[in-house]
Amino acid sequence: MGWEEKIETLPSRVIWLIIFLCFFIPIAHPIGLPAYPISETTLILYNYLEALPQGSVVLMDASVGFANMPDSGVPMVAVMEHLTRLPVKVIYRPRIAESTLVLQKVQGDLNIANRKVYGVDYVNLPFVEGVESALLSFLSDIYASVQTDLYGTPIGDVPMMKDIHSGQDIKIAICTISGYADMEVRVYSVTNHIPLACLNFGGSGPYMEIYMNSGLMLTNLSGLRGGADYEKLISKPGVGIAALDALSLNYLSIFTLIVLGNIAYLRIRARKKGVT
Amino acid sequence: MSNFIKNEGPKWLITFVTLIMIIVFFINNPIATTINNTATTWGAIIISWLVFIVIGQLTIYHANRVRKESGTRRYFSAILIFLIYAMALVAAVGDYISPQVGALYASFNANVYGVLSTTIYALVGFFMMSAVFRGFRARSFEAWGFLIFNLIMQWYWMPTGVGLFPGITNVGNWIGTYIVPAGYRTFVMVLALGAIATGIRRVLQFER
Repeated sequence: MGWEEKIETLPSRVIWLIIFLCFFIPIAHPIGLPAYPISETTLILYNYLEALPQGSVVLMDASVGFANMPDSGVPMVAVMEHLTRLPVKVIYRPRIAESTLVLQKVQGDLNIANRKVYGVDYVNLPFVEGVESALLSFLSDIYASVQTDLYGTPIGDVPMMKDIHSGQDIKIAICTISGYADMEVRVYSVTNHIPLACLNFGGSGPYMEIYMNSGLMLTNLSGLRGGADYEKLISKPGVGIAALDALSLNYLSIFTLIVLGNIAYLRIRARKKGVT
Repeated sequence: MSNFIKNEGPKWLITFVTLIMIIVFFINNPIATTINNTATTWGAIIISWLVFIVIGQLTIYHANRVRKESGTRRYFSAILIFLIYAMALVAAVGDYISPQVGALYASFNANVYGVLSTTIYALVGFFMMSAVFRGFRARSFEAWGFLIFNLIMQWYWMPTGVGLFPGITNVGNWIGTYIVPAGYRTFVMVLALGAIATGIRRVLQFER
């Protein structure tokens, strides 16, 4: 058996081992791969948030579970940290039941309760079933859609909500998702004309460019890379920066495996045809 | 009659409600809106009851396994029955019993369920990597193009890719601006047309 056959029949367990080592080694011993510039997409969101006037309302719309925290969750944590530093008002709205707990956990990790005043600077809304229709209803009339905050306080009694009645009062919607953003574009950009930014999973970059190019989406931050860029911008190294070398090494390893696999495949095919 | 109650009736009821929902979406008609609201309320009630029925069905199924099976399956089923009831009880009345029970539920979610679901998510990545290695083969002319674009975009999205080869930015941007949107728009249009066609067929009972 030549090397071509060995590559072609490479057991999955060997690939898993390579992937594991590519993650483990750079995290245990950072190797310092060449630096890269901060992506334009990340800068757009950072600059937009920095330019928001004092008291602007930002909607953090989370549709993310614990499973997505090492991916879509990385930029979400960085953006929530940034929002906590800014003089803006933030509405945290979970779009799936699990996001209620995810948001609370991240708020706890960032110690937001001691850095901002609940009810004045930020509010936690409860999960409302209904996905798109619930979101449309929320943006057309917040008071009709949500009666109380997460802790049972009537919305009218939450100080910051006195001036916030509908989507028209929201300056930007930041959606943490893990997949296609068609619904977000429909609801926020097309129907309500609210600037939309997405914090999405790692592979989302290519197809989210369609929305950005057509002006339907302000920007999209993709997984670890987007999170690491944002962590750099706010000077708060976190999971993103720590895992970047691992991510690069994994990209390199799978890139090499695909190239080797194809060379082996073509050589075997050529041999079978009797060319070589 | 029996067939109508079991099969035909519910199907035509679904057709009727779906048509009403479509009408309400496009036309502001008070009669259609009233029917839609009533149907939606009944839908919510039926789904709520369904949860109880599913819990009951699961209990019966696993109770039978506890009775009949031997070895690990038996214990697995017993643990599952316990977990189903513990979760249902804590989720439904946890906060009413005491705040500590609610906090325990949240803690379990964050520290047990959260960690387990993250692990599963990561494991999927391992399978995807080996599938990508076996799947990306230049078996045809189209596959060649697919492979080349894939490799370029992989390098483009790799955090250190620009550092190793700065020229990749321009190539990646060009593909992202012209090639990807064209392909994705075609994909979405075909998907939308297919969804509409299938939807109409289902609503009109041609597709079962």
